[in-house]
Amino acid sequence: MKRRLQLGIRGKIAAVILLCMIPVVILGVLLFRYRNQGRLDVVQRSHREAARAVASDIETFVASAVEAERTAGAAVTGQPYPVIGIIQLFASIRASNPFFLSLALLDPTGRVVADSPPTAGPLDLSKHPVFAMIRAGKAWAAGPTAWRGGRPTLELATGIRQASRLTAIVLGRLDLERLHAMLPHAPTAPEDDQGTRTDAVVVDANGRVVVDLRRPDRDPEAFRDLRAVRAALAGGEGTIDGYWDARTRVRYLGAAVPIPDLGWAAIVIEPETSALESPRRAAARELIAVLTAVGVGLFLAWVLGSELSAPILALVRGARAIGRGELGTQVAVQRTDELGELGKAFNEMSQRLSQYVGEMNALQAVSDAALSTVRLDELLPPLVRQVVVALRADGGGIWFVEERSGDLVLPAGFDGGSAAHARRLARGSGLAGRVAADGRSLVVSDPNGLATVDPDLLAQGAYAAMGVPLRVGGRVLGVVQVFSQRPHTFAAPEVRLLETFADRVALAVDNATAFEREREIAQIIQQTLLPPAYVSLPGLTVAGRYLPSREVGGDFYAVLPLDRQRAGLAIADVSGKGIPAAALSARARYLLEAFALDGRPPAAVLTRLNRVLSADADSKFVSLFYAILDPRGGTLAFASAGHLPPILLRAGEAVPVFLETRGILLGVESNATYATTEMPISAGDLLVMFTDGITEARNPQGEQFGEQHLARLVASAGGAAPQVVADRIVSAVASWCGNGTADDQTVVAAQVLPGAEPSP
Amino acid sequence: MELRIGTRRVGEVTILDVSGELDLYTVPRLDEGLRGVTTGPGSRVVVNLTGVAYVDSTALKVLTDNQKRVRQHGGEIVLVATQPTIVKIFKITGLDAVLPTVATEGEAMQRIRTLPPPEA
Repeated sequence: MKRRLQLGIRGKIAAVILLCMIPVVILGVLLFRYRNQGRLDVVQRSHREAARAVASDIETFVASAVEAERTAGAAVTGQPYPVIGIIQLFASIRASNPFFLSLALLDPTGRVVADSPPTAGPLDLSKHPVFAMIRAGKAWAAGPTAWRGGRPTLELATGIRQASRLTAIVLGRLDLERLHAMLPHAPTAPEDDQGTRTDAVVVDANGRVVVDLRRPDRDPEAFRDLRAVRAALAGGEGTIDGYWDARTRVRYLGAAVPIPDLGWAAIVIEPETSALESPRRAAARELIAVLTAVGVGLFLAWVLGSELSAPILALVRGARAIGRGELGTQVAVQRTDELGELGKAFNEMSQRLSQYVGEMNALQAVSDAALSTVRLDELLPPLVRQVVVALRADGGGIWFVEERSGDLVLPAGFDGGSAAHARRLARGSGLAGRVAADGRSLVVSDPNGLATVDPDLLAQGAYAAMGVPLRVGGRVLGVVQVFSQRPHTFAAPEVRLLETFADRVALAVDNATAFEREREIAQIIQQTLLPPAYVSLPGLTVAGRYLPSREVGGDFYAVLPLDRQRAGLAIADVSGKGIPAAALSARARYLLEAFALDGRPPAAVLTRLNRVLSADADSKFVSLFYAILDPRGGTLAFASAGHLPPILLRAGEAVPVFLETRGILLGVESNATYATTEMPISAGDLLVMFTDGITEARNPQGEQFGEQHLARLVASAGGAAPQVVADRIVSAVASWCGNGTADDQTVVAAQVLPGAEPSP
Repeated sequence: MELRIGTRRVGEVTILDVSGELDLYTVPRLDEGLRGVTTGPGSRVVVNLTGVAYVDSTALKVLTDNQKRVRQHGGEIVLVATQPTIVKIFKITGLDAVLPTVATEGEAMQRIRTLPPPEA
């Protein structure tokens, strides 16, 4: 979780930086491609320039050949010149210029005048294609290339003119086999390396190779169909971008340029690998630079992310701590930027929250207390201490308006615990007296003010004080006051807090008062139902104990003298608590008495009682055990309406029995019927009836007192008087559950007196 | 100890699994739970009290009142209880006459299925 978050915040910062880098990278790629294109352009330009140099070398070679022809022609036509002399001259020219395979002088009609080496018979070359061009006025013209014995040759005709009149033509056949030696500007020296390096090639008008500088055994027609070569032969320049030589398995780049004078083309090709080597190296260098920059960027992103995330993570830990309830947690963010501000704000918030929650807790405690049924003298002193702490005051107290006199009384302990005696203030005097009289909050912020308002408080060392009324429905029940012994001005929020506190205390006081009143009423009702704690009847002693719980419940028991020798005994538990339960108890109690009075059997009494109680619309349950004891007749008759079976301990026996019988609770089913059980009793027999407040009483561990426990207690009583048994049971239960009981506790013990039974 | 109430359905039967203590403070939730699953006619409900440690008279009242109400609409509530103290309470109060109490959920299902089908 923590780890994920850590990645989260750093990752996000890195992601933002990466996002920012995307356009940079795209721009870089575009620039890179543009630059690569530029580099390719440079390579191609260099290829074209090399090709142009080759073309220019060829033209220079042709021009020098033309010049040689013109010089020779001019020499022999400017004056009468014997044919033999011409032949001799031509032979010497050929000797000095081995490129000339042959030289011939022709008259303007194309007839051979002289030639070297001599050919057999007169030659008529008037149909030769170059003549037309010379006759048409060209200074010189070249014929198509021809291969003789595998050597390329070229016929070159030069017109000799005097005053623009054609006087003769010199026709030379040039041997091109060694033309490569005449290309000083070619990009490479002539050698044979099978064409894996830069090469210069010259092709004739048909695209056939005339010169191949490196002279590999290349197909003479290899270049004919290249687009760039066709373009060059047509007079334009072309770029070769990818000529595949299947023989050497090398891919070439290069250029082809025209040699216009001849209609040929000069080609320069370079293996792609070598051509692109330097651009690639440059590109690689740039790529490395870019990647290094990106790497540095990422590293910086990580560092920055860590730097930013550390305080955020500290804040997250702080927030989690607060979430766990560790209010007031402070985080250490020592920075001067916004994160530092955030840390500071967080710390302030945390501290305020802690303080606020403290105040809320103080208020909540009062609310909880208001709902509880604890006595006010136990409830309020701790609350006073709490509100004093929450307000960071030094002392305080709760004054009550005394109903009789209207005076204000601070009960002992209600100042948070220090005062041992109650104090009293007349209405209108002192801070509390004024607040009670005016019904308004009052704040005194300096000792001078206190001196006039409440000299007693000043005497207690108070510097500033405030008091707020305890009000319920417009009636002032009392005053809550706090004071500070240090210079302090109680501000509006503190007054509001104390007022809120007072409202809740007032509610608690009102609740407690109302509860106390209700309890008193219920108890009064209940007490009127109970027979005296000890009843003596003919042949029978009955002792009953009833302990009402804090909320009075619906237990009751009855001892009904039926006639001179019988008595009715009843114990009952009405579900619910308070006045409603007490009222139903009373109703059930008097109905029972009315139905039982004529001494009819217990089952009949219960059946009638049930019918009446079931008719109540919102009836509660009543469990009731009713027995008729006839000590003189020695019989016990009983019926139960869902009540806990009483215990019968027969005289002289060690183990008591439970008087179990079936019968549904009263008020559940109107047509329910009950059964009477009869058994003999004799002197000394002890009957113990009880309610669930006895058996279900719990110890602090939550364990119930239990019926078996009760039975053992009764057994151990062996022969004791009913009052003693009843008291023992009550005190055993009281010590079992420590303090406070949740339910009414009722126990009734009855014992048949000796001598009551009829003499046999 | 708090009260937990879980609701399951097995066919036509709704089963309420109740655990904790049923007393004055927690009983309103049982009442709410029972009323929630017995809105229609012929509701068949098994209340499993196996996990209940304590039942007071208000809980008995709520169970009984709900049984009366449900029966008026042709339904039935059956209790499952194994804790001896709880079983005993139903026996002593005689309420087992109104609230059939059995020891296992299987018995409860069998018992509730033998009822005549609800009249729609």
